[in-house]
Amino acid sequence: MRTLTISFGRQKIRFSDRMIKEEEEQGWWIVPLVLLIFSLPFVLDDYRIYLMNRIGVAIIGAISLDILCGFCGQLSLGHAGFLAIGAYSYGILHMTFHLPAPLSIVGAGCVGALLSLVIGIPSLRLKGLYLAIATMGFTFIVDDAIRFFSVWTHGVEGFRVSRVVHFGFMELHSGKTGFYYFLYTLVFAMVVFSRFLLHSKLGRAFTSIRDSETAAEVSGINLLLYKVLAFGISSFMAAVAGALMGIIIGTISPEDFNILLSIDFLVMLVIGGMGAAYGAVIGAFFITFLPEGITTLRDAFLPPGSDIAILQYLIYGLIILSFIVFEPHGIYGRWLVIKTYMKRFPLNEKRIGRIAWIRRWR
Amino acid sequence: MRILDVQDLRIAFRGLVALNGISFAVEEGQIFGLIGTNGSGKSTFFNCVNRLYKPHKGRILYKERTDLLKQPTHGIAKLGISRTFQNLELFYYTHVLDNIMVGLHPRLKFSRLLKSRSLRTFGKQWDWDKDEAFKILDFLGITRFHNRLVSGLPYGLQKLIELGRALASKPNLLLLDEPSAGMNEQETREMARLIKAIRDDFGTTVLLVEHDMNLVQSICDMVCVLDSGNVIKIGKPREVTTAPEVLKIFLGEEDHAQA
Repeated sequence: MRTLTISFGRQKIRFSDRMIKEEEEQGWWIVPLVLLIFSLPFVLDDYRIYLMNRIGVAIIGAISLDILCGFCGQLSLGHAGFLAIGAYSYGILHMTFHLPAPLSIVGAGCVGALLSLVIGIPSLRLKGLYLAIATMGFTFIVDDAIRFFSVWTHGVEGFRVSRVVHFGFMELHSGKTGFYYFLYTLVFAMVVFSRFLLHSKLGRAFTSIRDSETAAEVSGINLLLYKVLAFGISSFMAAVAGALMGIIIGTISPEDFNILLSIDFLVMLVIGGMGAAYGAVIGAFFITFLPEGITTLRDAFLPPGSDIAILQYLIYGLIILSFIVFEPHGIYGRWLVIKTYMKRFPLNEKRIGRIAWIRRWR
Repeated sequence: MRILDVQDLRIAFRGLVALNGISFAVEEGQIFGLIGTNGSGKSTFFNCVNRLYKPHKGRILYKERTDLLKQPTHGIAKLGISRTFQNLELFYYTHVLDNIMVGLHPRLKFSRLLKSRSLRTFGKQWDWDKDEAFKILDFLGITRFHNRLVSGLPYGLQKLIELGRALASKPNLLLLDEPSAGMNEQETREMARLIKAIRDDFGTTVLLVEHDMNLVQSICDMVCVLDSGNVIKIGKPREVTTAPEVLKIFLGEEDHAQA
């Protein structure tokens, strides 16, 4: 094993290759973040709690799309469809068949995973933009199916889902803090799950399919199996997000799950950064808070009551555009650059340049 | 034992015959060179072995038992055959270590984790893939690049990484598609040493396509010359490179007459 020796004056430090490679990711920052999120209900009012709940659902949805698009490289516009499937199956299982809530949530996920086979299997042949169009068609089909089977789904008039969830002895109302804690525990579990997934055999198979299908197949990865798995896992999580969304909103109708919702999730990934799960979290926060932030800005700078509905969309569009042009890797990608810079701080290029410059003057 | 037995393999693309019924056999433990001019069907043959192409006729027997043409594409790696590509097929947006670990895919079993009795063995099994990947990197001497993105590395290094990915599955048969293409003289010598080491240390049979005749002469035990889909000559490197029919292909008829 070769060694690297760095000398500071008389003192010498020897790094072996093994030592260098054993440096690991520090996870200490998770603790304050979790504490912050779990102490928020003491500060925020009911409306803000509702907003935080929407963000939680958006995070789960965005992570599920990240597993499909960011990890496995299968561009999908059908996520609204899977959210709708999740919401309605939860509604039917819980409200019509009176199954207990936890079972219904898992059941909704399973229904979503099962229906994902519809686009999972054709995805072996459909690639890139064509897959996106096919999945978009899936969203429309789901939308139509909800209207068609109005006996079960109550069609356009809306399906009333109970906002109260019973978990054994607990009774969680989606407007109260109890549900908030439940939701964010789930969000935390999903983030951890997706990180573990990314560094497992499964996740590596996904990323290799994303980068080169030929090389993946030659390395022994069964394309059909792993693509179907990616669709299955992603749709399971999306359907769970849909079920939770139904609980938060209270009344679901087909309009809640239109194609714009799918695009919203994609925008979250682009702005947050694809393929690392953290990016999805950042993007979900950013996009869900954006209208709120714009309203706050309006109250601060413009006379009260001025109408800026058009301006809101303008700002939204401008932000997306500027991210695609200036930072395609998203906020998380930028953070990685900053982190690398900090890590090798005394040795980064500018610094070396400065040292050389000083030496020259000596 | 004949590790690869090609029998009357034929493939054509819309009438253009790429392989016209070729037959040859590779013995276990050999370094077998496949040479020929551009378009003589060497890479096509590799793609047939990997089931990326579907031949019209013929058989490829592996270890005198399995017909490779009846296996699915992803099953080839499980049998112990891995390959590199002429134009690199790497996973550019992941780290070097992850690239190597994808090669471990056929050997990585989840049940390995469940078998562990104590927490210590569990931790060991948990890091098994990483340790294996580092062994490969150590063998290739590129450990210090383990946490770099592949897309930013120089070409020679990328070739080594692809070789590492192929090695990670502990193959019985390694197919190398032009291992020294785009490399300078020193890198080529290094590659030759490496290929020999792979054969000697891992016991891997190596089948390689190569244009660099010096490399072929220095490391190959057996050479097969292809020309427009036909086998011209099979034999030891020295006798093949002096055979008149081979010289005719590589140098042209008049040139040879003058020489």
